Amino acid sequence: MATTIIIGVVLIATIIGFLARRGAVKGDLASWSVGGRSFGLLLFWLLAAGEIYSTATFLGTSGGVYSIGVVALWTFGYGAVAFALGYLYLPRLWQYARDHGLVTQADYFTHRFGSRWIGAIFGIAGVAFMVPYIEVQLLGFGQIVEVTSHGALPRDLSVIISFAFVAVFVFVSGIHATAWVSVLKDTLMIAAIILVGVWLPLHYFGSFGAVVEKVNLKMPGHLVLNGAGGPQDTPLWMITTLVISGLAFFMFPHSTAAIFSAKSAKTVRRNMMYLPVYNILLIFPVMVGLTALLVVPGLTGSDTNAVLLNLSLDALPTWVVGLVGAAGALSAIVPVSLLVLQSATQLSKNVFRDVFAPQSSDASVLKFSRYMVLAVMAVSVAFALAAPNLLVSLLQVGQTGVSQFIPAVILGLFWKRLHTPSMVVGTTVGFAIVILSIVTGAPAFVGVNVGFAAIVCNLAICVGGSLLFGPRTALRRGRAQAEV
Amino acid sequence: MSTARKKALWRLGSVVVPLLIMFAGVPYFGTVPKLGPFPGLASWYIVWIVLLPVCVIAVDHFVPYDEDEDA
Repeated sequence: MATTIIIGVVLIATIIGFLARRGAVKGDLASWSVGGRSFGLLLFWLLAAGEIYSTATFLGTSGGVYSIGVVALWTFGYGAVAFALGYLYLPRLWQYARDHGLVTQADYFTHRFGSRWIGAIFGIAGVAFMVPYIEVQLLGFGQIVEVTSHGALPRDLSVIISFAFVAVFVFVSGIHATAWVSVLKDTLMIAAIILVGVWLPLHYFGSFGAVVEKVNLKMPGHLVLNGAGGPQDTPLWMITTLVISGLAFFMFPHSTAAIFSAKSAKTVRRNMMYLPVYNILLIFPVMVGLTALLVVPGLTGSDTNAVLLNLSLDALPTWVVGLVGAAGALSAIVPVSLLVLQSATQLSKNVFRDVFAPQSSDASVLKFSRYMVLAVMAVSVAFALAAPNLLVSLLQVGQTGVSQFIPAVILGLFWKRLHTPSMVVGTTVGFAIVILSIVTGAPAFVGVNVGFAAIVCNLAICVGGSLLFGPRTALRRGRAQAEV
Repeated sequence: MSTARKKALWRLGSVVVPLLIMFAGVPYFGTVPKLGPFPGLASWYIVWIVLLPVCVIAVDHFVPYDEDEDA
């Protein structure tokens, strides 16, 4: 029964993805990759919020609370911070993109800093940061399908077949497919998350309060930040992680593309005003994680990510397990489709065309991007199956690395004096600090999140360099233009 | 101070002030194991997940965007 529901929902999603091609009939790159900037309040809401309910959230939040306690609550708070901050700068980013016809994040870098090389290099970095994220979704999908079907659907084969379908519907319909499949995904996801999050704690312990009381009695310290769990178990780490994760949320290239797909700056602004409320639903995976701590204690490593699924199998009717499995499967399919679409577009437009073939037409870039979708998906699936732990271990590099785009994007939007070489040096130093922290395995630097420490250095270089050299450079550029 | 700058400051304040209060509460509520039916920190976040949009919407209502600000 559960297996049939999962297969049925994935097939329905595929059909919706193909049918969405009618929205991409114009056949140009902007229509395929950012929906021709036509998405209204609802479709844009689903695209922008899609990130919150990926497999990382579905499985990771309950698993995180299970293994590290309230330290994992940063995943509960950072979305609200991201949307609130997004209210301040994303409408302007949309306006800038619309005014200059931009369709990728790398386009923004190219245009704002006047260098196709900056666009290409930042574009490649952006794709590199997205690849581990794709891997996590693919592995989460495999785990969800295998566990909820009781092993009837083999993990590797399920990943290969399902994401072959996804690659083809993205090839045909572009971002329209992602948006319309999001409608199904979010409907199922909200239903599944509330059902599981309410049912499991009440089924085992009668109320949410009873779960919290029992966890506090059994494991005092699990529900408070007291430093016992290492450098991350402190209020300072929590606050700096909320800030950096909130700012980094829209620095991923695929999130930027979702912003570009909105119909107007007003659509972006309205969504950012209301979206923080959407985060409240994450309290349910939190409560499932705490319930699992009492029901199935002692799990470690990647087993903790499956606590939500295993508890569901134990306590829920088969059809509900199928619904949960289907919702979880879609929570991988939707982000992956957007991630692959934007990786392909950035590589084709900002690397292939801007660097190697500037004379290429938009039509040939669109054609190349479509085939690139198939290539990126094939490589991602191959990596996920051949070396599952390699890229997942790089996920932290992706999340903290992408945050180093913050000065280039936000200062670039609001501060004309931002000095390009200083921005490049600052971003490079930020990347270096992030990579160093991963190599040395240090999650915190003097108590703050490493990404936050890196962004402070990055910002200091950007602002200091711009104040020192910005006006002179502007004068030189002015003279040079006068001489020409 | 120009009207545009005043409006920008109001909007900035509608986001930054609630966020600062939210962050300021983390050291205290991070030490409360249970507040209502949830862990103390989770309850604190729920309060601000609701209040953040309320503050932004309220300021947006009284300091509306002009069409030319979008352009």
